Amino acid sequence: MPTRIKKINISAFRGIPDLELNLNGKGLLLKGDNGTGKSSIVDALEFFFCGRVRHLEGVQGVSLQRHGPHIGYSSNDVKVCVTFDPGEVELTRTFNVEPACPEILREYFGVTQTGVFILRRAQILEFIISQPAERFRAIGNIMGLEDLDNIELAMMHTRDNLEVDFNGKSELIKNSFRQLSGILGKEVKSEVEVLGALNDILKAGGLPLIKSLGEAERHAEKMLQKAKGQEAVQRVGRLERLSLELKSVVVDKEGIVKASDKANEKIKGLLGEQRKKEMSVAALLEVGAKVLEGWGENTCPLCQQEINGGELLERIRVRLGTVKALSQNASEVRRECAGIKQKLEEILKTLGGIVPKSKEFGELAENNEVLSEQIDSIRRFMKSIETAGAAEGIIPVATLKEMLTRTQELVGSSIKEYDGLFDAQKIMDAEKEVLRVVALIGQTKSIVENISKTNMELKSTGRRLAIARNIYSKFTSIKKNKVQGIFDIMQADIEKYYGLLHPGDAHKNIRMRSTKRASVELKIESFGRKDEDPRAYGSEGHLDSLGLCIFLVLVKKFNNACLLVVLDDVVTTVDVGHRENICRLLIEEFGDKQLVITTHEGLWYEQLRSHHRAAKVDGNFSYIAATKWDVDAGPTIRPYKPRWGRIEEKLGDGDKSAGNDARSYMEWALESICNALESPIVFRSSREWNVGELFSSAKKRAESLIKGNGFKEKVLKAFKELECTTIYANITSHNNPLAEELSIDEVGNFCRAVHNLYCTFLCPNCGSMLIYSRNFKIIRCSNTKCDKPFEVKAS
Amino acid sequence: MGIKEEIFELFFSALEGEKEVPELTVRELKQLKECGELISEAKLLGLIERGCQDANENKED
Repeated sequence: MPTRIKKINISAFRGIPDLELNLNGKGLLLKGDNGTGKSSIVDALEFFFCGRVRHLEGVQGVSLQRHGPHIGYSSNDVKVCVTFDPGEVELTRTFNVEPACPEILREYFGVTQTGVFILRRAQILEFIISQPAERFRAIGNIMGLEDLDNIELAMMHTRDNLEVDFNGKSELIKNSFRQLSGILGKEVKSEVEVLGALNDILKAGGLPLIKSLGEAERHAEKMLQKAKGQEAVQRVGRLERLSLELKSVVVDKEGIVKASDKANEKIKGLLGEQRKKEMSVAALLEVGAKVLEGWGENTCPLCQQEINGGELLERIRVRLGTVKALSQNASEVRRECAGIKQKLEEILKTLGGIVPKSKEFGELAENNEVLSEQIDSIRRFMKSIETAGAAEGIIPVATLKEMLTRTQELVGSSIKEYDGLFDAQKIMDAEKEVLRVVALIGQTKSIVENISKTNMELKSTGRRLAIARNIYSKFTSIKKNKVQGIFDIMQADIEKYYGLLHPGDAHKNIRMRSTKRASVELKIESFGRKDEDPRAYGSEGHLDSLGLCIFLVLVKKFNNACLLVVLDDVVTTVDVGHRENICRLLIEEFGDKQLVITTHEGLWYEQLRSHHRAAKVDGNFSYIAATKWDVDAGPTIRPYKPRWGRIEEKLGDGDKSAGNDARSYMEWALESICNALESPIVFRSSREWNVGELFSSAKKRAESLIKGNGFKEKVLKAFKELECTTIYANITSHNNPLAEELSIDEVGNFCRAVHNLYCTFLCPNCGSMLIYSRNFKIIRCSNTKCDKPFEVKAS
Repeated sequence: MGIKEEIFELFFSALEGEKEVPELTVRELKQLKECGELISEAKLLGLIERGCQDANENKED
């Protein structure tokens, strides 16, 4: 036998000093005006199951700890006990103790702890108007996807970081070949081409050729031996090597500026104060989660106060989810900035190495000073790249361009200076040529060796990257397909429910798509336009209906182990006709659930009751009303008395205010009749009509629509009786001094006329409202399960 | 079977049929999941590296 709540006891919690609600496993329909404490009962249920009250979270100055206890009570007094059947299992939640859930209730609590058994008015649009990522968190949390999402994120980061490593190494190799092209005076892209270019130089100098780069060093040594002992020649050799190093400097201005623009685009979205705050706690949250995972005690590891470790850990994980989405962008920024930094560091490394080595050449002192200043300027600029890498500021691209142009110019002018000095040295041209070639061979060899080493590393990183890509792509595509499969089923159910609530509506083809990681798009076809945002053409009532449908589908699909469903004042924007459909949906699809429905609206309450009676499920519900509230006693809960019962009671007591109640009963009854008969009525966007409009429209429609059988006469008689007594309604409803003159009998006549008219439109067999069927040209009982439905012909 | 379990089952069977991913990597990833340990970036990188190393050694043998 499935678990149901038998009893709820609430002590010292949010407007309730002490309250016992006996549900006896039944559903609950709770009516109460604003401020009578009905939502506090919902809060108490959420506190009991989840240890939190969601609408008290995230609001500055408001917290469960401070605002959970009732006025005049402390947090130690707060207690919510729930008794479950079967087994009479009584569990208690306080601020310090969470319910000790027995094995038999494990699955039930597994569902309720997600909090997705309660839908409040304020939360109803969460599924509709959220950003795709927030919607995914709302839905993914229910589906248990949060863990999977974190794993997918870790896989993606592993792939991305290996990709950065791989790309960095590839870029290094490309740069090295660019360097070689510069010093060999010819574009080279492979070691074979390097050998060819080197031999071209040797040939031009009339020097012997080499077969492989391995020979190059030996070759250079031989040539050097010829010049050995000549100090001047060696000095010039050093100068030539420095000149070659200068020629190998690559200032990739275009690439660096492009990467900076790309990084800046991302950084702009990461600069907000709130985002910064979120990002700044990421490390703290990660450490906190790790500590709590291994802690296993219900005391805070820092201050030793009692905590709910499981709940805290869950909340940290939810926050980490938000932070991780931001960190994805941040990691892309880090990657771009790391690439820029690497290129600038290469420039610094080469220039920084040349300046001290060239000090022995006094002629270059002035040039070296300018180069040193430029090196300092690049070093200073590196700080901007570090700041940008941490998403704390954008890269000043204009300054960067200027700095790179200046560096290019300086490198060019320095090469001229060095080469000029080389040319001015008093050594033989042939010796100069040998030295130049020796220096060139030495540098080429060193660069080629670096390329070989990096190539080996690249191969190994490439292998790891291929594995990481494979793991990520397999996981992500399986997850996406599986999740989309569930969304497809869900969207079919959502559409089914939505179609029940809005039959023949211009809004259809609801689509949920998992387009990106951890996000869900929600689209709808409106007036023939496909894939529109639901907000594009949907009214507030339509959006609320859609939110309700999504919630109910989630409940149906994922809350099988728990019968409890709480709807707290969720239909305020939906009109009477569509509420009828909600009643049907709840009875037909959720008849097996333990529904707890609260409302401040008498009409909706009466509609639900009437549908329960019609479906013969009224025995499965407790009908109660919160009639008043005060700070000492809390809510006053009474068994619910139906509208007509209350009016009759007042009439019995001689209370003429029954006329007022009957007037609002009349408004509701006439609106229901107009709706049932599809009576034409003047369009009002507010959907509010006065009694005169409703009366005349309903009466005219009844006259023209209903055919014989005695029913038409009965209806028209009821309209006439009401018409004759309506004057009493006007007198009693506007503090009219004439009200005193009315007798209780006259008020009673009006009340009975209203009730009689309403009852005329109820099925004599099951008590459901009669409705007009345009297709069959009949007026018949609206209850499809009625075993003897009333039916009369219509024109 | 819950959605998580279904996804992991399909994922591991897809990885097992993939020659490019070393057996040791798949085995360790499975163990990590079965132990309920957090599958972090550092752990993933470690098991990929060990898998590559193991595959290289087997090749040399």
